[in-house]
Amino acid sequence: MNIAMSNLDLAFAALADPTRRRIVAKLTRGEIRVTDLALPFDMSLNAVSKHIKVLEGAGLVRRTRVGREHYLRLRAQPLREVARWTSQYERFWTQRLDALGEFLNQQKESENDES
Amino acid sequence: MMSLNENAMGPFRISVGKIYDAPPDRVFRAWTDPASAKAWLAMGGDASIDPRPGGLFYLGMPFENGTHPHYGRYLRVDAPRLLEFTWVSEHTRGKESVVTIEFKAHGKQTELSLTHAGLPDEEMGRKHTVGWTHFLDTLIARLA
Repeated sequence: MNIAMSNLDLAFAALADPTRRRIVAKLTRGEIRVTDLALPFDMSLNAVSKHIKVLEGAGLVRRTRVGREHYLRLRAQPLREVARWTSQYERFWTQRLDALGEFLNQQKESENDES
Repeated sequence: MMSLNENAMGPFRISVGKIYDAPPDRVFRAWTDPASAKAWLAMGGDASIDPRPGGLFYLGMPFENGTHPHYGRYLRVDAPRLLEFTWVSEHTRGKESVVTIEFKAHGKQTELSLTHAGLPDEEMGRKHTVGWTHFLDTLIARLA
């Protein structure tokens, strides 16, 4: 397994958890204090902290410290890699399914010509 | 080392679908008849298929930058309802992914649903996380 691949694996795994997806979605609006992040999730700061560590490990977020406050910021690159992979295959199969439609139409026309 | 829970299996999956003006047996045959598969699936490139469980296929798809080999083996062949095969290409890093296609009759039409799962690690992708692709799209749109 190459390094790029294992990064992608980490990003996929980190984003597989619904709470972590909610954290990431919240961060798309900009930098946020960890203490503010914890409030809407109905869970302890400790639990949120664990999720943040997973996101950090996957390179999806960056934490900075200002005094006693921890701030979180989203890092877009790993997300783009995940999205690129899925959208590539989505596009590929959509194109093939369209080609199948054209093929079936042509088949029908040639049958009509013969009859 | 982080452990992967069941939910972690979700992301490795995409689903697409289309409705065709043809009955399921005709749509199904387009996947399993060698000449048909060569014409549309392999984009006119080399195609060698043996559509029975355990049978193998090879598709040499011509793209602008050369031929892209795709190959795999058929897992389930249940005409005209279900077709399932493994899928290996450069994009799967040589690993087996799984393509599952369902054909449902709607009057004279066929609703085809295709799911591509198990990437990039075939141990993953067996569970579905609803809205995953939508989530990513929304995210990327916001980040752009």
